Amino acid sequence: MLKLQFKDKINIGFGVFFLLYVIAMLLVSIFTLRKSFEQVYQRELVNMTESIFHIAHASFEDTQKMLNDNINVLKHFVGDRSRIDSSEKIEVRIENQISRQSKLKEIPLMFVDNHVGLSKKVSFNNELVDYITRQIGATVTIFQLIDEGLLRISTSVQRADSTYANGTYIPTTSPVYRTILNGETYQGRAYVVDDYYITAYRPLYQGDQLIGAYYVGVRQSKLDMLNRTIKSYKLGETYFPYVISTEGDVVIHPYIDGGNILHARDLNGRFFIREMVENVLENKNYSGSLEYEWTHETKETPVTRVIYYKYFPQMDWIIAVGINKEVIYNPLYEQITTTIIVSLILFVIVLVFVFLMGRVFTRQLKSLTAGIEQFSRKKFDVRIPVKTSDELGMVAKTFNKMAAQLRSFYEDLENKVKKRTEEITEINQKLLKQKEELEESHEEIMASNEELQTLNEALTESEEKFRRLVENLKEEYIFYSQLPDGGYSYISPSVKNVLGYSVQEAMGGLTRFLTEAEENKEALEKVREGLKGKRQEIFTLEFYDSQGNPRTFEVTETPVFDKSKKMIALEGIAKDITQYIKNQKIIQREKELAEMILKVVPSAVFTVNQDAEITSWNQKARELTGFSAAEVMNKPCQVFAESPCNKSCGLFDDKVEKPISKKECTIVTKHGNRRTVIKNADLLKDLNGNVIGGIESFEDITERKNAEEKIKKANKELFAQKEELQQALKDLEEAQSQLIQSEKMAALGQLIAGIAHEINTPLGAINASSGNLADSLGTAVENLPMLIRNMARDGINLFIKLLRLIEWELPELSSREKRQLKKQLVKKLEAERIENPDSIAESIIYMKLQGNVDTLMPLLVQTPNAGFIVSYTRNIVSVQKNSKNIGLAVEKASSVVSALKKFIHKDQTGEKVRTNINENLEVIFTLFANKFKKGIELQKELGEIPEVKCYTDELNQVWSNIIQNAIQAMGDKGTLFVKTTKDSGQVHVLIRDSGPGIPEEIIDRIFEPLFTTKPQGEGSGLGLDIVKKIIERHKGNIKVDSKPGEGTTFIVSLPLNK
Amino acid sequence: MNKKVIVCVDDEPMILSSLTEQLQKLFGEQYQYETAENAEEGMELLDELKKEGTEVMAIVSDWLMPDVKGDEFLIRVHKKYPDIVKVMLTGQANQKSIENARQHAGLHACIYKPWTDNDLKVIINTGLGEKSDEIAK
Repeated sequence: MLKLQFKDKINIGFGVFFLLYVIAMLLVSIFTLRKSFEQVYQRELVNMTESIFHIAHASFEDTQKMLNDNINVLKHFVGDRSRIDSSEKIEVRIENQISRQSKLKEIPLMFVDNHVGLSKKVSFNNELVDYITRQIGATVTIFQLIDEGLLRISTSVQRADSTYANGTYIPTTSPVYRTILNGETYQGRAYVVDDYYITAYRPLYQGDQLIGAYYVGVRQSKLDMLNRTIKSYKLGETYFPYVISTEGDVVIHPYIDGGNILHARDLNGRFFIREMVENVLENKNYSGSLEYEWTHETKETPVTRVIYYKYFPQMDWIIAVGINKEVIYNPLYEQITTTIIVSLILFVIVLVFVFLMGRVFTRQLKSLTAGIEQFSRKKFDVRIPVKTSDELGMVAKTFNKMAAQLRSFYEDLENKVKKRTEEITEINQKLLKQKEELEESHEEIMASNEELQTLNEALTESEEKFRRLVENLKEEYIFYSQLPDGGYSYISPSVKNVLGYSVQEAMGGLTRFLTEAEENKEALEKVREGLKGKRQEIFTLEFYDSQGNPRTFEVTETPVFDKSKKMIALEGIAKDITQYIKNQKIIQREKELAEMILKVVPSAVFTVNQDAEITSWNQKARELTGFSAAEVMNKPCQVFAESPCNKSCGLFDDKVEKPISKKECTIVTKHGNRRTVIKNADLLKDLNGNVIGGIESFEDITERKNAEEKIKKANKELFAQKEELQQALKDLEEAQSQLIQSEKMAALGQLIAGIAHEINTPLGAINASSGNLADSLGTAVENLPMLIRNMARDGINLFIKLLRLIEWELPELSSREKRQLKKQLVKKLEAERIENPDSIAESIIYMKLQGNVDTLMPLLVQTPNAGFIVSYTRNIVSVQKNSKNIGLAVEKASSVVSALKKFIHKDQTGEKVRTNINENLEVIFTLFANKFKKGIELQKELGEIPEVKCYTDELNQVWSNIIQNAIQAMGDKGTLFVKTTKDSGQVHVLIRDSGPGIPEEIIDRIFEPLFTTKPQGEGSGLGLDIVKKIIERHKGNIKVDSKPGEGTTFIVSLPLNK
Repeated sequence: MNKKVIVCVDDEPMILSSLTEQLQKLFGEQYQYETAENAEEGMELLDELKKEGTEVMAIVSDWLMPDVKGDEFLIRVHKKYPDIVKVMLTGQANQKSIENARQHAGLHACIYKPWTDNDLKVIINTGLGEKSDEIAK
């Protein structure tokens, strides 16, 4: 760290603080000023743009108003006074003002009449327009309408090269042209020859005909007032407004005269003019501002320009005001410079002042410091010169005073210390001597203490051992000592724990607590003997404890003799073995139980030791293997096992999961028979969990196994039989299906015979009719010449009348009616003396003209060859009648064929199809039509039933079979009633005949296969059987109800399987 | 004088109309052609014509008709009018019925539907020829 004087510290601190303050103030003022400057200028720009916009707007309005006045002046001169004279033409060169293409064209001349009626040629004569231009100060043009557009034939508009623009024309694409052609006036900005003008155009008529137009206009760049005004707004070199068109053409600009700046780019390559134009035209932001980087030609440093602009739609102008940002900030920068200079001067002054002040302050402080420094080196006689009388001077005085006091205090202290030290040394020596004496006596005490300690520990230890012993014994043992007279000299207090009696109670004689057990008597004998001094073996005694429970004790008594070998006492220990005996009994019982189990289990059970040597062997094991226990005991268990069991059953293998369960093995019996066994095995472990052997049980499953094999075999055979049966069933089904098909064909054969008639009848009609038709047509053609000949002789009237009156649609009369009608007609005709009355009458009836006879009569009378005409007409009618007949016949035949087709149709998909049963029944009815003609009346009540999913062709067979049977039963005469109904889940078809019914004795057999009542060869007897099978196939049912003499009713019900 | 008549009986109007016109074409105006739609009507017609005094030369009857079949009808006709030439028209050859008619109705011939112009012409002609032969006898 730099070692600085206090005054320098003050100087530097003060200087730095002051400098920071000045810099901060500068930054704040720059920021604030800059912002307010920008705001001011922004406002200024907007204001200027707005005022120029208003000026431009006013100027434009004025000009337009002026032009409207001017065009009225022009109208006065040319409107209704101009005319085209087509007789006079001149060839001129015309030029498209847009494309600048030119060509020669011949045009008629235009004339304008003056007020006194004199005609003046205006075509390519500028006299008139120049005159008017001079009057009104705007350019004037007279246009002539030509194919190409509007041709300037007389104009004061000048091209750039100051020549008159006669011969230029406005092309048809121009909005001006379109407006004029619509007969309307055009006002506003328009392109004229080579520049934009503010204009007014009006159509020019000759009578009603549009012949051209007239115009007044001012070049937009010649709007002087506006130009001047805008230019006057220029403030300084870089702060100025300007106007451009949306095409980028410079309209008004203080520096640029004309030209296009649309593609002007700033220093960053930005098309800022284009951007502005796009903003106006595309984004419809009609005012806005933008900034760009720019270098003025005169200066080299790049500047940032800000422009504000506004769109002036009437002129399609953009009015912009621009300024360099630098201009905005220049005064700001000047102000900042001044501030910095002033701050620096102030800084220097303050620095000098502080330096001088520091010197004054530090002089006194310096001497003070030097004094203190001396003082700290214990030079207490130092004195600080007192130079001033201010606070620092006071400090120096006080210091001097304090130093004097401190010096006298110091000297006094030194004397006292010396004296005290001497006293302390003397006391110390005394103390040292006392200490040595004390240490000596302490060692003696320590030695005796140690001895005592060792003794004490030994005592405690033996006492502890003894206590533990007795404590343990007192739960099970009673110690006692008996005198030869039987009285007790001692009984251990444990009697309380063991038997529940107090020592006093026990002393009173224990024999009174003895139970009635037999053993007690023998034992008491031994006690008596013992008391006589004979040493007795261990015996047991049973006492009741204080709870009244018997407890058994094992008693050992030892006689004690004195030196003269006289017994003086009998000492005894009685041990409570009640629990032990109890446990022994339980163990015994369990053992017996286990043995019993081993004996009775149906499995062979044996155990092995760790070496797989057999250690036990039950009865069943013996029975199964033939080996007795003696034969296998201590032998390896492989004795009777066969591979793989004999190698290792895995019981002692770590990898094998224990217990082994239901493992199948083969064993060999003592007699060499192989038996299959199923075994379970597990490890035997001692109390500590160590493996000590294994136990295994097994059952002979040889018989079961054999039985299983047999069942398997039987099953296999059964399965094969089942397969065979299934195959047979399949064959049977196939045969049945074939049978169904053949039955169907048989039914068809019977049907065909009937159907032949149904088809042959229309065929006959067709055949005859077609012959008739050909014949009639042939005759008509053949007789055509004759008809024509007859036409001349009034025949035509009759012919036309006949053709007109024919009643094509009238129904045929019956034979009888015809005959009667004919008779009347013949009479009428005869009365009129008409030839061939018979033939004519018949033809009239044939043509169904009977109602018009009276109308026809005069013509029939008049016409010479009426008979021929009538018969000719008849031939024409015949053609019509016969062809109609053919049509009917064909319809009939095809209905039969179609029914047949539907019946024969075999469903190829083999899947059930949604079918309308009523429609199918109708098909069957068509096929049986001939039967219903022959004498069977068909009554049907086909109700509304839903479609049923079925095998259509099979069901058809059902219907045809039942109906066929019914018809046969009725002997071709009777009523067949068919009705269809539905209920919630079924569709019912009822078919009832009026036949003789089925005899009661056979009604149960009618569905049997091969049962038939028909003569041999007529029925296969399979019909109803198949019907039943088909219906079963549809999960439906068929019921028959028949009473002899009352007919038979079949009801077929089919489920609506949705 | 009334014309001689050929009667056609069939339950199908289309057959009746085509057949009578065909007969007319074949035999022209020498005969008159009458029709009936069933046996009953046919019988009535025959009776009526008889009453009018019109001679019925031949009768062509369909076999398969409701109620009374052709063979039966012709047998009845034969009993009443044995002289009329009887022809049976059938679309279904039922030999039993034809035989029945032959034996009991003096059936001249059986025409099978569909028939041809020629069949009809020959059969009618031969029938009428036989008849005139008979008359000649």
